[in-house]
Amino acid sequence: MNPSSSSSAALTPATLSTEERAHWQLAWVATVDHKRIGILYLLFTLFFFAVGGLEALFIRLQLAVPNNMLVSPDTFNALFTMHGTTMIFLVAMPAVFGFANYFIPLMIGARDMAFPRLNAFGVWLIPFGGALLHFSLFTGVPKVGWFGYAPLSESPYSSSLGVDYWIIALLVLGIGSVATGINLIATIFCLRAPGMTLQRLPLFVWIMLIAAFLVILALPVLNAGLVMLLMDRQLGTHFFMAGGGGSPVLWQHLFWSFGHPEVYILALPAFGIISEVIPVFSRKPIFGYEFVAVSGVAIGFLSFGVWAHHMFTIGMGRAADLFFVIASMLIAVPTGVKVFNWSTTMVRGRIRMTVPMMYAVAFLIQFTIGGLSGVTHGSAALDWQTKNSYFLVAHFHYVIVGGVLFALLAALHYWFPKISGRMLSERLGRWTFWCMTLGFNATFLIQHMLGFAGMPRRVYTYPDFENWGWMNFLSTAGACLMGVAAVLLLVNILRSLSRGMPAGPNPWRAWTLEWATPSPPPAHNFEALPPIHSRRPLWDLANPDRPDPVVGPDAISTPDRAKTSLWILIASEAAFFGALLLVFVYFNIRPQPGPSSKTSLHLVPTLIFSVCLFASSFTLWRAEVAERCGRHRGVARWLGLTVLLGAIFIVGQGFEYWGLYRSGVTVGTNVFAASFFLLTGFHGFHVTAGLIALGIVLGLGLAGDYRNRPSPLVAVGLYWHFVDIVWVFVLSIAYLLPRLP
Amino acid sequence: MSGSSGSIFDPASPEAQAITHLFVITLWICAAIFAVVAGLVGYCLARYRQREEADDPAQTAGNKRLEVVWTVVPFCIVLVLFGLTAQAMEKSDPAPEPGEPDLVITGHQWWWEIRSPKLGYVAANEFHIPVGERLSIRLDSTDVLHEFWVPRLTRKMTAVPHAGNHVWLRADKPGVYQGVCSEFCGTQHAWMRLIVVAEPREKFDAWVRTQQQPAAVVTSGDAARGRDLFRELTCVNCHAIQGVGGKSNAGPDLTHLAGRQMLGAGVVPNTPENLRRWLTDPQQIKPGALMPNFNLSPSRRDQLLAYFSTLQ
Repeated sequence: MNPSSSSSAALTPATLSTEERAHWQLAWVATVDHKRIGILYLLFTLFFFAVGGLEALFIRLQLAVPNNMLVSPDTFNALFTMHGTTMIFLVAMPAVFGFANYFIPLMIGARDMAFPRLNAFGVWLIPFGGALLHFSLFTGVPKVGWFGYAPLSESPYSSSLGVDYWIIALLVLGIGSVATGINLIATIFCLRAPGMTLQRLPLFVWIMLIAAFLVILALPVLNAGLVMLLMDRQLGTHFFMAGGGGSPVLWQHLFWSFGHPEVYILALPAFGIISEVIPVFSRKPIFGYEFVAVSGVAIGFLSFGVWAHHMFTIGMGRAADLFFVIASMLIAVPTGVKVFNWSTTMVRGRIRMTVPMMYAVAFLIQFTIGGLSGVTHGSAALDWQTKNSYFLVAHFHYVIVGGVLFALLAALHYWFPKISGRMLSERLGRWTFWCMTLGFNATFLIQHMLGFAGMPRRVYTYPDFENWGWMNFLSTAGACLMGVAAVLLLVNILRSLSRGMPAGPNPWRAWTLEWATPSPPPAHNFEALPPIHSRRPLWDLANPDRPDPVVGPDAISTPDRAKTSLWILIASEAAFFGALLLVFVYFNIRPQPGPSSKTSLHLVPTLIFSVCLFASSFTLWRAEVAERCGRHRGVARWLGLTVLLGAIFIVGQGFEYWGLYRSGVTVGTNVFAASFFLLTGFHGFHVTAGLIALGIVLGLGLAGDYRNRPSPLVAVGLYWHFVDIVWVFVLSIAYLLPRLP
Repeated sequence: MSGSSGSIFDPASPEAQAITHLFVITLWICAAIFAVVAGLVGYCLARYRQREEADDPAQTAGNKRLEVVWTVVPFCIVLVLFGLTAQAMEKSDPAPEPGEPDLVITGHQWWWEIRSPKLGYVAANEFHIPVGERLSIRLDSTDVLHEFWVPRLTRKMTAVPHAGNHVWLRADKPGVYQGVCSEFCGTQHAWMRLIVVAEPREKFDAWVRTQQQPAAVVTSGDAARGRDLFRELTCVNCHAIQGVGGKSNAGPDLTHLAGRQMLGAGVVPNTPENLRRWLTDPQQIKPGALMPNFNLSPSRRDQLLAYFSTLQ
């Protein structure tokens, strides 16, 4: 059951120091080293991949023949819910984070991630979240699908605690992902080696940077939606219940505002991997580096404007439908640019068909199919037929399995020698590849046809219509072949750990920095870095007679770690509060029955404690000035005043809540009350967190802790100012705007 | 059960035809793009594959003109597809007209209720339409989201509680058209199927007349005892039989039960034997359905069965 023990034992000699060997379990649990954390991520991934894969097998076995009764309907519904949730949140994302963790610091010539302890926090949230999700086994597994559409996911229709565990697990995993996203961005911005300018970053790093931005901006929106769903289920609000003034459609907006960027959170890293693998095995640099990078940025931006193409059948109206049609179709353009660049990289190359390259080529073909069938979902008219059919199931599995999983397998085979110091067996790898590719295409190609024939997704069984039986049977046979491939993969990994050929530092003759150090790399990563003047420092080293062109000047600017990460955190929090503010506007733009902002909120007391909060920004600024001038007493005085003003705000808000409670306005009263408490409650929670942070800085400052080292006041101050600015928006939207005539 | 499910490439209405037309064009465009990519990859693998170690080739790193080409060309294709999509949307889903709809179709966990406000009949899971006439349909739901989908006839559309979404429904050829709920709606989502029978006007009118009739009158024998049982047991809490009893629409209206092809929204054909099994224990046939096993004695069950067989 413990996936880390067996493999880590095999990894022991190479990665652990002599002292650590005696306590190797502890060394793995307590590690803050980015390489070990990366390995932990990948081990958790493998474990949950087995779980999600078995769930998929049972889904396919149940569907092998019409009118089958192998598993009960509820079991089937639980299986596909857990399969989707597991594969997205416990397999695909951790796998991406695992490779990013291990290789980004190496590829940019850094010693570790920007925040090693935050990194360890992120990785341990994966098993914690996974355990929470599976704890639902004891209380009733969620049976609502991985996108948990309301009102089916609301307590009247899903009364067991399964959905609650599902929500809490996703919140835990979401918070961990945001932490990891911030860490990745800060690492890439702040820890690059001399000469590693942004223009010279390996494409994997470039594209992971974009994906990390999507993580920090998209996950908070999901978190907002999940909290609202949890409030509906546990506190009696009606955010997503049509009966109580809520809206089931709003859940879909929130979910897919996260859900579609999420597709690119998974696809972009795959693009990054392919952009590393194809050039190395074609023995040529990537074709059109700038275009691959810039098209990634374009995809990142567009991905936030296409979510509602998941909602073409919800009745949004023609204008909205058309907007999301063109936005969704446009995203095909930068994606197509990438596909052409990868294909053209191979032209006039010397292609070596190693196992990683085989996976990369299969990715190219399969991802193109998935991308093209994606266009048929972006076109609303076609989506009106194909949505929620097996055509859709085929489409997204071509993207996420044929695309993302194949890219991850390419990465695994490409980087395994670096991680373990040993080569995987090419022969076994080829067998695995063919089983996987044949199995995958047998499973999913035929599902396009099933969709055309009108088979809806998420049915536990189906009538014996003409052709449906054999098509489903073929699909099941393909899934079994994929299962064989997964076993072969595991055998290959375990075999290689003990008996694989030693890899040496650079078995593929690749060009990025991770190959400039022994395999596995020492704890400190590099003895000495090669000079970096181009995008392929190791090419320059190996070919002094024909080096790559020097790209831009060598000078790099690496911003301050604390400030950078705070700015990224603020961006993420802004997305969260943006979602909450929009929710408030959505529910209060039309008058609701029952209490409203006008009837229940008192402006004058609120304005008084608001002024205190705004004043606290000023006093904090004075504290920052005092610190810059080195006046320690002034810092303490101004900081104390800030804490006092913030506390007045919190107390004021407490009185406001008390008054509302006494007049009978509670969170379950109506959607105004629910959205008001949601918005101001989360703001108050952030103010409290800021107060605690300021209090700690104040206390440590008084104890003289910052005499010899810089205080985190600037970073904490940024956060405090941000929380104050959020209140400007809350005050305007919740208190002032509704009072306008 | 067998027979054809029907395919979206065999449309039977102008609304579905518009989508199929666009689909065929889109598939050809996609096939062409795929052929270019697969051809390029295949060519490279055949031409540039290196089996022995060799020196690295010339290190070309890009070509701006090519990049512009493969940005602009797909962009133009996207614009064309967008135009065609907008056109097809207009054809397959014209704006609803004001006034009462011809049919109100309501999704329940896990069956469909079909009500005609104009003609005043209620049906469940199966209904007839006149060939060649365009019906306006309002979708509703009493519980969770459901989705109305008859692939050969019209677009799919979600039934959102209180939202009143609209679709047009028409069939140009007589026939039996399969439909299904396509939005996951809980335990028995799989068996929430729908049958649309398109027939010439006269036959349709005859069907409507039957549907408008209250239940057939029975006076004696098992059937009459069955009718009394229907009224006396808890059946009427969920089911209605026009002219006999029950007002609830929690379960399907049974006034014309015997005239239906299927039981349990598609799970088994409507034969006396299957109806007997259903009454014995619905959970054996459709596990999770909201109708519990009432543990009817065999004699009561057979009396109900005798009555239900009269409900043509």
